[in-house]
Amino acid sequence: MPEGYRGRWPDRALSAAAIIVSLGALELAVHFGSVNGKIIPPPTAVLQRMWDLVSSGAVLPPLGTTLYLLFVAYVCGCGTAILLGLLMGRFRPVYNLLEPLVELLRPLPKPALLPLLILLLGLGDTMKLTTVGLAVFFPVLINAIQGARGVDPVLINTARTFGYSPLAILWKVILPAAAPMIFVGMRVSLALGLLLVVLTEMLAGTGGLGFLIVDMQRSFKVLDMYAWLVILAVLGFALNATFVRIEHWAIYWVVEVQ
Amino acid sequence: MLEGLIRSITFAAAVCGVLASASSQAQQLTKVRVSTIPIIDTIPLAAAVAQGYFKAEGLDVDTTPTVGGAVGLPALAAGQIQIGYSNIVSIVLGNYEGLGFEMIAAGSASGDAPPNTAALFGKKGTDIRNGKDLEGKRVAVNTRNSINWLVVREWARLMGGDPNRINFVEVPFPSMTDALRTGQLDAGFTVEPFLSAGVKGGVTEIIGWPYDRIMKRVPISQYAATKSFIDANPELIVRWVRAYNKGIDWINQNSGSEEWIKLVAGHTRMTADQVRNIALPVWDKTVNPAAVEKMVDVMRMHGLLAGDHKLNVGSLLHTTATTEVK
Repeated sequence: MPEGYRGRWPDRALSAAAIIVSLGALELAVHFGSVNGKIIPPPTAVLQRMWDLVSSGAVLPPLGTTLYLLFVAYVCGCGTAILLGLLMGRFRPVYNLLEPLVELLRPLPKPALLPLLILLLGLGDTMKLTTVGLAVFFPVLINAIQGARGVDPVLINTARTFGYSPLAILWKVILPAAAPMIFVGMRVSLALGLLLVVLTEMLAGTGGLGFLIVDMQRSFKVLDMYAWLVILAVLGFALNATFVRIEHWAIYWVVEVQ
Repeated sequence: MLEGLIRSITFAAAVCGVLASASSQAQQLTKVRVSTIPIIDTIPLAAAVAQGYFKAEGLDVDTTPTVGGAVGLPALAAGQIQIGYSNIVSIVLGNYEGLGFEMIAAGSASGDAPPNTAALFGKKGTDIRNGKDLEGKRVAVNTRNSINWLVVREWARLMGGDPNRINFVEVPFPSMTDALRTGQLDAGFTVEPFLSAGVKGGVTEIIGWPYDRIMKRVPISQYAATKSFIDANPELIVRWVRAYNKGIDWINQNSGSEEWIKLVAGHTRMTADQVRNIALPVWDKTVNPAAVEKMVDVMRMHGLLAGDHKLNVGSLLHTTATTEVK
């Protein structure tokens, strides 16, 4: 086993202990009345409600709606960004053409664009997918450009020597070489995408986790609201963990530096 | 030179004296934060503030606009505001979930016949006529789980449709007409003065009067406070309601006058022409417990209040809401 691996377990135990101690303190605070249990329910009650939601299957339809929106927008956003990013990174004219537009749109916080997008695209799935897609697009684009630029010229020259066409070079040399940077961008975009999906559902949704969280708030069902929030947090955690797994499989040649 | 010095010291002392008395007078006013919605229904509150009735009772009322009671009430539960204007459904839901909301004063109620102060409306030329037509459509309400949401559901049910098939979207009242015009929504439930403004402007038309279909004098909204605040400040509540009731009197007595129109226009950010001749709600000084019971029944019929405990209707109404505070 590599040196650093065994060292992980005490670290993990420490962070788990920190969470458990904080939750325990909250539980006691509610129990002894210093925190209003109607506004901040005790963690045990929230976990119980979460369990009820999961075991009864009530968690599946909203989860499905949210994941569907996220998945479609993520794949489309990342795909376009990788393609465009590689082209912009390798071909100066493409970069010069698109760079001003990118620099204009990139700094805009995407949640702030939501009212404008609702006005332009309505309240349906098109608007939601566009909003999330836009948020996902930019981090991956920037990283793809940098990744494409940072490819070792020796690799490219070697490929040329072997008679590869420019397209083959792009697909077989540049893309894999830029992949680590692209994956970094994709991980940022995943979190951003989830954020925007939930926000869109809160403002204009008819289902999904964001919609439910607002709905529970409107009904003053505080316990349910917290349960759904925790489910959302667990979803984010699970998505990230899955992403890391996929990343290790896809770019197995990169040694993880602790 | 000495004379000049004495003069300036006397002047400074006089200024300090005035400032001190002014600040001590300001200290006598108790600050009360009230959340409100900038619609016709809350105009008595605006009138009471404008006419100084609250100041006369020793209260400095600071109003915070929100898009709906369902948004203002969480601030009430957190103690950031002391009194919240809200629709009846949100107050009842909050009370049911143990947040301690109690109605302290009546807000608005619907009238005895159409035109009501709020209606279901759609784009001009819409083909939505009954509950069945609403199924699968996008309908705007200011917030879900509010009275607007409930009465549209009840209207749809009474008119032959399935309320669970309607897609309710949250849109603030002032934005609904535009959203209908651009086709983002198929219908909406809005209040005055936005209702008449849209119809007069030829952009929208009225589909139905849900309040009237349910009953006469629907107790649409009330002012609520938390039980803990009321128990700690009973006198303050009585003074607040007394001043507010005077605001109701002023509104009823000056209805349609230029000063009235200016107040409504400023309060709702509409033009004077848009607020002339709008349908007014009924402003009573007490809440009718039987009407509240009826609305609670409608709520139960639509699956609300279905938890593991029963709603205690008695805990909903404070004495200032049921007995007129003079």
